Amino acid sequence: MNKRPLINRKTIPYVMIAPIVVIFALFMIYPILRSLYLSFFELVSGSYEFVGFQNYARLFKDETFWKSLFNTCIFLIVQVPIMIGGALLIAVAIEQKFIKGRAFFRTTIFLPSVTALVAYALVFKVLLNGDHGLINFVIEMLGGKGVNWFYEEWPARFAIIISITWRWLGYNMIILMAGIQSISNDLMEAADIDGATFWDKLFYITIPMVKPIILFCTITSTIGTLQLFDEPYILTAGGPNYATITMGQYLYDNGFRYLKFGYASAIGYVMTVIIALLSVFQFKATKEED
Amino acid sequence: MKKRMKKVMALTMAAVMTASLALTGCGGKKKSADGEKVISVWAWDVALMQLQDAAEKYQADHPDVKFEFEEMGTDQIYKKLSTSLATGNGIADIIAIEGDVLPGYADKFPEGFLDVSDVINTDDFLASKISEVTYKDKIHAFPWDAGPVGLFYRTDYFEQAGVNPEDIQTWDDLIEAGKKIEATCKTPNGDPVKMIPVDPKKSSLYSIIRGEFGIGVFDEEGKPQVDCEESIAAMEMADKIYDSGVVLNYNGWDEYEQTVVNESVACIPEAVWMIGTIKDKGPQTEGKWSVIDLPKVEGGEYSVSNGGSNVAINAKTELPDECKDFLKFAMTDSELQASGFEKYGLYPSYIPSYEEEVFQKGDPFFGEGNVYELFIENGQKVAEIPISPNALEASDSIGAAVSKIFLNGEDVESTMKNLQKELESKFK
Repeated sequence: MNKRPLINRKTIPYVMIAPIVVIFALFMIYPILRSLYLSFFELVSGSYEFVGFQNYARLFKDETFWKSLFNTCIFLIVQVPIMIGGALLIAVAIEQKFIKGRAFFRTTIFLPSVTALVAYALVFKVLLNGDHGLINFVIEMLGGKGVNWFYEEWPARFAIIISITWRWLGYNMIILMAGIQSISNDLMEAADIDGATFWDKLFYITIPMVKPIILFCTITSTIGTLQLFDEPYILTAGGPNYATITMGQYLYDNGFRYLKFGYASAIGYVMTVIIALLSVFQFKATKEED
Repeated sequence: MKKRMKKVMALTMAAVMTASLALTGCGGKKKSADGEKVISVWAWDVALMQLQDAAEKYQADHPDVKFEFEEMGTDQIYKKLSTSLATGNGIADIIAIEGDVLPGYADKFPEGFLDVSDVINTDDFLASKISEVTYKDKIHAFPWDAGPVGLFYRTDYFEQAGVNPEDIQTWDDLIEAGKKIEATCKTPNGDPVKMIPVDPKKSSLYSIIRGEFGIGVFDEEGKPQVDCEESIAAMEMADKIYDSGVVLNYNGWDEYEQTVVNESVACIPEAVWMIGTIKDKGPQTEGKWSVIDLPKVEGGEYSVSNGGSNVAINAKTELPDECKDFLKFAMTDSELQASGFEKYGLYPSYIPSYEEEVFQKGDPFFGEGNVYELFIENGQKVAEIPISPNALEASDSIGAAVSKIFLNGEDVESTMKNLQKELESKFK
């Protein structure tokens, strides 16, 4: 009787995927479960004390948390449509036959998304400076009134929206462009013969054909926006008067600055639920139409 | 046979992978084979360099003690501390830590740092620094550099506008002088010169004025007291200064430094460590700066301190006595304190070190006279304000209140009353 070797035809797939499964379990699953557990505890004088749903109860009464949720929603509702719409338009424009130097435009518009986060945020801080910034200079040159970007609540929010749109538009554009390129030329030619205009083709061919990709971009952008942290942290430090604090930053503050790990975990879980709900909703909304 | 080899190989690889995963979390705690004592140290740039200098000097008398220095930014240190302090594993023996951050750790991890009361003679250190490291009757760290505040001012702008620095006694005087300076002086870029830089999202200006009353955000019992008379008066004064229009807005530390580079302000009310930033960012302004005492608020008699750091010992260290002995040496050797100040701008809280020559002769960058004299004097007039583990969170909330008052023009008294309620409900 020969003992069957541990690694055989049947087990080899498991052995091969074992490293990633182990890493995934250790660095993703365990933290996820652990933070759920932590959200029912709070660190008091060196040991974790069970507090039940108290963290969640406090969270729903915490004005700063609501404000961070509100800000995050604003970023989501205003920024994601502008960015996806803009990315789609630019992608379509670059794919037009008469455009020369396509690679150049593609690269320039994509380039922002590979810049270092801190560096680009600092550049925007200079651009948006109320007294000497280039953006206000241009507005004033065109006869408008300079905006006090960082010292008023709504302008500060738009300062964040402008920066993240600049950074992530190119990334979404590249993905959408790949979708547009995969649309068969036959369709476009048939439409041309039927006398379709540019807009007809955009609304009846291009957009329906890339809809799954638009959905993908919307979901990843939604998740990205819900987890937004760096830009408000560097540009506005969450201010003025918490006008730009995001859930991500409030979580960071509670966890790593105020050392309220249980409370921070509770915020994390509320974020997770919101993200999950939104993703399900987006999937459903597009499925039903099909 | 071949199959067997493969199996062994695969298992070994798997084992190596798992082991390396398990190890990534822990900083190595090396115990030298030949009985050498190795003390590991975490600190950031200047703090690290100063501790390295101290270690070199210490080793002359203690050749058996070795050091392992690791440069870590403050953020890095705090992240590691907050995850590992409970166990004491994976963190260094000696850790530098900023003054306003320490109480949070002392509260959440009361057994995290070694009690150093037995090796500190509290009379030798600035009283305000001793109260900064004392929490619940335990001294959690060695007090290190202090941040007594003064008013840095530009002598050339003052002269141009005909303002006599000695006339600036109160914050109202500062506003008046600011108006004169703005009307007369121009920065190298051609803009009018503003009086002081203010971040309208931060609590700093309010904190300075409140500090002059000698009170903190919290009382001795840890109860917030931002709606008390002094606190409201401080915020009213801060608002008056902001509304007078003599301030220059800045958004974050980089823009704060820019005010020195662009020479856009005539004064900076800041701690002694600002000397380093001024010299570094404004070398062209050599000889044009001087320093006077802060303007006073009516009824305020104290000096104010801002910033500074401390050094703590990991309670689970294998070498508690050696760590204590080294830190005691590093923090109380006057010569070291003097050179640390001269080289890295670390203003010592160890009082006997003020006798050193450096502190007596001043710095020619700041004109004639001894620029340090004021800070030495002020350092000893800072009130002993009880520390609170909630200080950071409260300071963020105050920053939001400052924005409401400065930027949205909301009423001071009602905003402070609401802030009091907010803080009370947060820190029940």
